[in-house]
Amino acid sequence: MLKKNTIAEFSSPHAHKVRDQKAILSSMDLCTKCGICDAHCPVASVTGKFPGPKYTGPQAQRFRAIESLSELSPFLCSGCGICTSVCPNDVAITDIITVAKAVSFNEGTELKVGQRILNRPDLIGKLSGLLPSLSNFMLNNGLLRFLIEKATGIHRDAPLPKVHGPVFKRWFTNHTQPDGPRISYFIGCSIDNFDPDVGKAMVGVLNHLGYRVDVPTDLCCSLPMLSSGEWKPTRARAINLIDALHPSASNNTPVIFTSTSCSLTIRSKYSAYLDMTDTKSRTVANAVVDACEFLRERHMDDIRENAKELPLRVLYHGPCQLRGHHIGQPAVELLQLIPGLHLELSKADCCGVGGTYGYDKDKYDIATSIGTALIDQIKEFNPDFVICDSETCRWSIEAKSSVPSIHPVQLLMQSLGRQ
Amino acid sequence: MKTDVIIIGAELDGLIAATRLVEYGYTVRILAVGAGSLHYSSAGEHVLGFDSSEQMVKNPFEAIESLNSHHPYRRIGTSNVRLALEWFYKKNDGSNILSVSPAGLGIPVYRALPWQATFDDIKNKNATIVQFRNHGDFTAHLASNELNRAGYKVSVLEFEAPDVFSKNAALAKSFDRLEDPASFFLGLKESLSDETEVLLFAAVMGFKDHQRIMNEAEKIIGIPCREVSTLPPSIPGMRLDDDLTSNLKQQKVSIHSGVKIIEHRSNGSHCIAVTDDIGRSYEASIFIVSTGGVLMGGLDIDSHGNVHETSLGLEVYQSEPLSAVSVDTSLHALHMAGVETDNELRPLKGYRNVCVTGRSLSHWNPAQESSCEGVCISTGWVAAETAHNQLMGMKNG
Ligand code: SF4
Ligand code: SF4
Repeated sequence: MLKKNTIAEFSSPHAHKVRDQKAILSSMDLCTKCGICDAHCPVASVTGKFPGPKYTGPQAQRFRAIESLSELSPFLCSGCGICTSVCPNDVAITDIITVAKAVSFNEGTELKVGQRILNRPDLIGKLSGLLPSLSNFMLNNGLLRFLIEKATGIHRDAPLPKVHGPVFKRWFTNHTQPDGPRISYFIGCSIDNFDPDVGKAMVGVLNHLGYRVDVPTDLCCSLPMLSSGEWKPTRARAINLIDALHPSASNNTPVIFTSTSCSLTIRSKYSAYLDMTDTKSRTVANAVVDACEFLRERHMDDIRENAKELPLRVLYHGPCQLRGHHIGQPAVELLQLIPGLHLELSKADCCGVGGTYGYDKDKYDIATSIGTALIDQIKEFNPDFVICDSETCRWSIEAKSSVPSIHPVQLLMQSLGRQ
Repeated sequence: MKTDVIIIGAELDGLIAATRLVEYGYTVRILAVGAGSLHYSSAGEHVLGFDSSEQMVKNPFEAIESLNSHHPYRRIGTSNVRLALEWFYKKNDGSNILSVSPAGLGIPVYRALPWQATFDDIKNKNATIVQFRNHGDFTAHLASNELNRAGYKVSVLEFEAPDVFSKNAALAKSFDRLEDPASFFLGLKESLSDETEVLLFAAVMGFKDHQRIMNEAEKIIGIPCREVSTLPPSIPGMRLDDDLTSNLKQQKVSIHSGVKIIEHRSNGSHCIAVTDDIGRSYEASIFIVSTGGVLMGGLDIDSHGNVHETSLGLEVYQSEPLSAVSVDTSLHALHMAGVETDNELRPLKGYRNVCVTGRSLSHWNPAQESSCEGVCISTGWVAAETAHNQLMGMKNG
């Protein structure tokens, strides 16, 4: 029905700033020691143990450049990226800290077993997807979770997602689609196993706008491994993924992401950490586009004309990684188009979970105190849904507030799909 | 994606313009590299503290006439300055008061922030300044020594903070989280000498919950409690920044951080779209340049000592090339450099739908005049009026 913007017009203005590792590390020289990053760092605000981004980032980097520091402070950083987004001088603080993590990882700082497991969400998904009911039983069983905590360091109350098995792919295979312009959708390792409803909603919205959706791959972007410093095994995985996405991307068609962290990884972290700045990787990186960003740029009018009333109370929380995309909060602009929606915005900077940071038993309390402001606001407003673009944030918010938490496209689909 | 107005930079002037434009009902997008210079502003609401002969100013509105004729205040006119400040500060009597600086000196401000310590608060009183242990961003003795030297009666009380933080922001936020502030302040009261008539804290008493914390402090301790500003990044500036940006976000204004504007498209007389360093374009009818001058990267100095405007490449006024040899005159010349505009803040040479505000304007020296907030607020306000008039004009054909 809605084909005002065909895919051929898509000019891919999304070439993300290419910063390789050298550029990242040398950005430490731009630091004027203003301390603004420290003032905004959610971890430094709740614990005296973490010296803050200014020190752990640009300042300590000067010493790292001449001698190897044995230090644990980089591992206390949750990688939220808030410091980088407030720095007036464009210092790549979060990336400097992540590089430091990788260096000390390579120098022998042991990663906990739990972190190694969490670093491979695709594997967790595959294994537990074989027997979803058993896995869910284990995840909900207090005694088992206690034992898992002892063995792996994954906190017993960590908001692990519900396992669904390959629900999305089964659904997608039998799904009939309009015969419109083709567009690719990246499901990663999470949609099929943990988040099939987001995938169905995304395909639904794109179908509604007249697109025919392709799903080129279900490989994992490997972000958890990258951000905890486990880099060596990541490279091969990253190259595989780039190969899988390249045919779609080289067609000059966008690849749509509903995960703000997977998209950020491919857009800018492969070049930043793995120095993957070759043409093929850049072509894929430039084709990556966040779902809400794409809809805001291309389909505001279509959605405005077709959104139907939704008399719901919702609270939107923009995940930290969205800042790394430099696109503002496109979901807010889209949700405003839904008539009758009572939309309140989160006043908190961060939900605390920081990907898998808040799963670690030693960091669980830090993550929980960071998240308090958001959970308090949710409890006070008491919405029908919390809306958030990131899966790990949604799982954590849902576990801590008991309010169902969904992706913006799920709400859009509810509105567009109403009769 | 097109909005009525795009504001480049998240400076106080840009946030003020956005706030005013949202009141008018326009759609606004803010594109900024990072946080704005409100984080540095230490003691609050400076409108005009010193005139060009460096004399302390009692009535800022009267002193405007003594400024150079290109000064932003002279450009937009005293009556607009009055209107803007009345709108923002809800105050119009035109008088300065003296606030207490981190070093115990008097700084003229137009209005005291809520609970901000002024010299009137401590005149003829026994005052105590609280020094939280470990608080590295504040030295109570520095202030008390200076105040004692000037004849005030001030002593220092060392006290344990609710949590072990050395930095302003973490300390301020730990007060927000304090579960039982009443018992904390009760403990503090017991350590105070009976003579104390007014209690001074570093400006870290809560961030978002500042009001609640200070009310609680005064209620429990039973004497006036005030805050003295600290070294930057300063909590009062951050509170104001947070108030303005939170309010704008709740009004659904889109704020994009990490966006550096380096290119634009025009039709000769008007700017049509701006483009960031990764190639994304943003369209609008009006553009406001609130990029914070040299301090925040809105103006840049090349190796020949020439100053450039970084976002739209606007022509820059500059009295002399800057040199590292003649630092004194160069520093003043650097402050005075910037974009020169007409009375409606449109660049003298440049697009008709662009306004420039705050530190990116020429012919004023915020450090010497102590006029930063006043100039930013009033130029932000006037830019919004200019945008409003132009948008009305466009609507009516
Ligand atoms: S905000 Fe940027 S410039 Fe300021 S201290 Fe942090 S890294 Fe340095
Ligand atoms: S990435 Fe987040 S947690 Fe890490 S230093 Fe920066 S602000 Fe702090």
